[in-house]
Amino acid sequence: MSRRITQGVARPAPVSILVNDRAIEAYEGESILTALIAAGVLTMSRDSFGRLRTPFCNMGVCFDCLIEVEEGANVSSRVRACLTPVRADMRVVVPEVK
Amino acid sequence: MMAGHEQEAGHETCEVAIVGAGPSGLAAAALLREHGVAVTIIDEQSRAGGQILRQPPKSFSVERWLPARLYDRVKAALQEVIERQEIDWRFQSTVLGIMRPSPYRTQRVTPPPVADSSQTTRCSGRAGPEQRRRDGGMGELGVVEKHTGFAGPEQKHRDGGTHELGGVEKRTGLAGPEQSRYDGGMHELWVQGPSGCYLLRAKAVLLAPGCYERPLAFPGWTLPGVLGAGAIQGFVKSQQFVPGDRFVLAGSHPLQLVVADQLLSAGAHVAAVVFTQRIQQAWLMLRHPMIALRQHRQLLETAHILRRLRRAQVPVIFGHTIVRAEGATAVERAMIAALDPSGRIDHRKTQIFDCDRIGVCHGFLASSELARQVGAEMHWKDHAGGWLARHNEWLESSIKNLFLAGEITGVEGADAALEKGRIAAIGILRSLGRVDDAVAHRLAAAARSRLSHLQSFAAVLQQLARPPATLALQTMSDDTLLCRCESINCGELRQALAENKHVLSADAAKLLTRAGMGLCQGRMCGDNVARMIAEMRSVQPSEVGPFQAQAPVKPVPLATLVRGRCG
Amino acid sequence: MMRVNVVVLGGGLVGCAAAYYLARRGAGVLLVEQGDLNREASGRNAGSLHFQLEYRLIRYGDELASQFAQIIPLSLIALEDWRGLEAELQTGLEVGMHGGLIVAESDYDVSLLESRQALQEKWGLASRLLSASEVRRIAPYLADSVIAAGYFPHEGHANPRLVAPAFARRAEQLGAIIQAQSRVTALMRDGAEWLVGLVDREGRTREVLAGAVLNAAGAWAGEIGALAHLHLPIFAVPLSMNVIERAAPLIPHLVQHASQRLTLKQVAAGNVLVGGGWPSRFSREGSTMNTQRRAEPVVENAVANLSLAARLVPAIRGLHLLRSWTGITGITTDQMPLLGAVPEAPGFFVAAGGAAFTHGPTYARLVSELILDGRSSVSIYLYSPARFSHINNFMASV
Repeated sequence: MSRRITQGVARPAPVSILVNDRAIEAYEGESILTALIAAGVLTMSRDSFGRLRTPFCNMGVCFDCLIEVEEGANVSSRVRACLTPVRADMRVVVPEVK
Repeated sequence: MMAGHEQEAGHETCEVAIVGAGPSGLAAAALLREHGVAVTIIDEQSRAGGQILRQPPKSFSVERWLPARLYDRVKAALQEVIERQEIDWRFQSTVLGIMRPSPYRTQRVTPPPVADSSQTTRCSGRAGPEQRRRDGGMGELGVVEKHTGFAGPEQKHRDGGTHELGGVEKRTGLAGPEQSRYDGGMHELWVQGPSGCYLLRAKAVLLAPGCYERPLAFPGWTLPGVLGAGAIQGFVKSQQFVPGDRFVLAGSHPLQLVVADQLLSAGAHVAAVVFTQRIQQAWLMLRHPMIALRQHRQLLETAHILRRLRRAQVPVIFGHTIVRAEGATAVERAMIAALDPSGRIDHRKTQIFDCDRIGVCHGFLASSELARQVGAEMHWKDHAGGWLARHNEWLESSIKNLFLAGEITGVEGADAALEKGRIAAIGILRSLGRVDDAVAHRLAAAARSRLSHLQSFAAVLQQLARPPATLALQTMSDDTLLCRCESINCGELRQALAENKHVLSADAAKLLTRAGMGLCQGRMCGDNVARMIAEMRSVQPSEVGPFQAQAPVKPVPLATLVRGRCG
Repeated sequence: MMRVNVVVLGGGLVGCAAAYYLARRGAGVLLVEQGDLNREASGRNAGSLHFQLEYRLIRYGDELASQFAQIIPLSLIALEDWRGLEAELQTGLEVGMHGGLIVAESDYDVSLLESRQALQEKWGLASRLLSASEVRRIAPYLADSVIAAGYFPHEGHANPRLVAPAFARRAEQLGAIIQAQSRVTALMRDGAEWLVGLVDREGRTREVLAGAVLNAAGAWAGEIGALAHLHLPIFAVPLSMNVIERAAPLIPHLVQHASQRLTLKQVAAGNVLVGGGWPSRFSREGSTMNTQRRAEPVVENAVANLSLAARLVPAIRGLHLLRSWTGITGITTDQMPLLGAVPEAPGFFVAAGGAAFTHGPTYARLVSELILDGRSSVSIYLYSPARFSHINNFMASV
């Protein structure tokens, strides 16, 4: 399992974000990608061939971590999870993987 | 106050725009500020530092962040400018393209100062509302148009550089030896910011976009859990996060050792570190007199890391390559195979390591897309970063007032990037008329001398760090995914090339197969596509060319695009 | 010295198709392309198959529009050609002809649709006007601002990346020789033949004798004409197109706007292409425009083009623009193609200008007939370069 380093690191109080309909704990400021991987989510979208996309570069180049994010009512956008900080109460839509 | 924000006209103007807040961009910013030049820095990340110094989020506090000595110099450079108020920081912002200001404007743009003897560019020359209109009725036209009439073929770039002059120079011409440098050389950046897209004019642009990992395509490389080694490092450095449990690092670059070490000290398991180089090769290079004498610190650091890995019983395996990532829905195992002395994979000699993450690291590609998009002259230097931008002694590209620093002139590391940033900044001061030639040379002398030493070391490192020339061609089996975005297999490209023998360029192959047409715009497959074409046509990758770079150089959501100020 | 029946100049769609149609009839063909095949407008346009009158043809008033409407007979032939093309070339070209809508958002737009409709009827193109509710029914993806549309059920699109290469492959199988990366340096009438001088990328020169020369150089047809000391009034114009990331099937039609520059379609791969004739910009060499270098995009135009697209099809707002690209096409002084023989220069033929993607295969087929038989199966006299004889009368010195 992945894990956050805690020794010598002070984080703000955790917030909750929704991944599909599951609430996970995350920290404001960390990247959405970090929060997702910490929650065991490695696949960010399904392309038009049905292939699951999984991040490679963690620096905004591969676009494999493009995810759908909803904030507030009806405001949905697709952003690179590696470059986008977590904000409380956001909802992230990822493919359900059996 | 910051110079040159002029929003009323819908087009902002700044003095110097720096693209990339890594070591070279920061070093340049510090030096430009010392000389009172206004600086705007644009970066995709949320904080300054670039990839080498991916800072933790502001909301975190980290007691011992990157304690290793190899970060000392770049950390000092970061400290010098970090969050300085008089710098116009634009984070979470992407430069989509570098454009020529349009000769047709729907809104008036105040022209920059016009050349005449009474007004030299030694004054700040900022283009702003305060600038008097002096164009006598042609005010609607943009900068470029206004001055084409003064074009003189005899006019030379005054840099004493040796490179060929580019198109812009010829196109816009120069009004006079001094003042022309701003007027013809204005650039317009198309920027995607957090709240929309806009155009930003700059008298000079410093392109310092860094590099990214050169991806090796091999069976299973798109399985969840296969990442760039630098990607893994980014999580540890910035996010204070270990993105897995048990890691295999495989590749050819010494960065692997640093990542393995950082993972270990963060408490992760490292199942193996695998190098394509045979150990004899590595020792031969390390005993190179230049390395031994000048870079003893790095050698020492490497020795420390190797000792720590040994103590943790991490196998460091030489002369092997990753050949397959395996697992049902994510990585469960890494298969490596021996390389014979000629660099051929020996599929009979394999080993398997259980792991949940594989970090691959086969060197770096310069982020050259903006330079290519704007039409700067490029050249190919395989293990120095692929396609690199040409420049003169001031790191000015073939396009006037477009300067370069950092890995785009050659992937030579962060310390070299600092020096390049300083030299480019002096070049910009000179170009803006802030310093004369003699002063510029004097200012640049120390940085040049340091850079020259660092580059000698980098050249040796590039030789040391490269994988066997044919490695990618061997791992790209027909059923290996080549283009992640468009789901094109290696076999599909091979077949298309076999059936269409007129296809000689990466672009023609892209048109035929769609490889490189997706969201990453060919960054992940371009190098591999070029290698495959080069092999099948028996030419060098340099003859195959990169994919043509077109604005926007990164995809942008339509909603963001049309919401912006340039609509 | 090499001797062929026809030298075709230009490796775009028209040139590749002509090489095929000529070779199919047994003619010896040499196709010469200065760069790579299909790399300019033929491969860089947005792939519209539009048979209704484009906005560029009706925007300059009724009088000119009725003159430009003379293109419709050619469009109707092109429509039939496209229907058979995948079978003819034995390969997929992603031809989809599921109908085209020219949408109206204002009363003015509706009046433009009505006059267009009348012209199209006169020339035998069976389009019809749809009411707002009819539009909603067949195109629910369109915004509510659309109040009417001109509809022609056979419009659509094909993949420009595939068409010219498919013609080239078949032409080669039939014996045509294709020489890319080579420029023409001379065109001289030598007795009853043309002497064609060529130079390849390595600087090697070569001379070829040909019974006929076909100028299929698109935007550069004027420069080829000049080599034969002819004026061909065709102008290079730089356009821009935008490609949006793949999405689930949403838009089966070719969508255009009655009074604004827009073409919008979703291609087989799922990408949405947005164009419609928005300018990009030539770079400058001193005081002249450089039509050899790739034109530069103009951000404001791309944004305006895409704003219009996003307004009409709101569902695409969440998608990413992948890239904008530019292409250089050739427009004649009277918007009609240059198709046929130049009377003043025996054996010199032209096929260029106009909507050369939609009409390209048809230009090639008809001009090939003209070259080999002395006449084409359908009259193309309306488009003949003979309409500029009053100029070339003073140019050709035969």
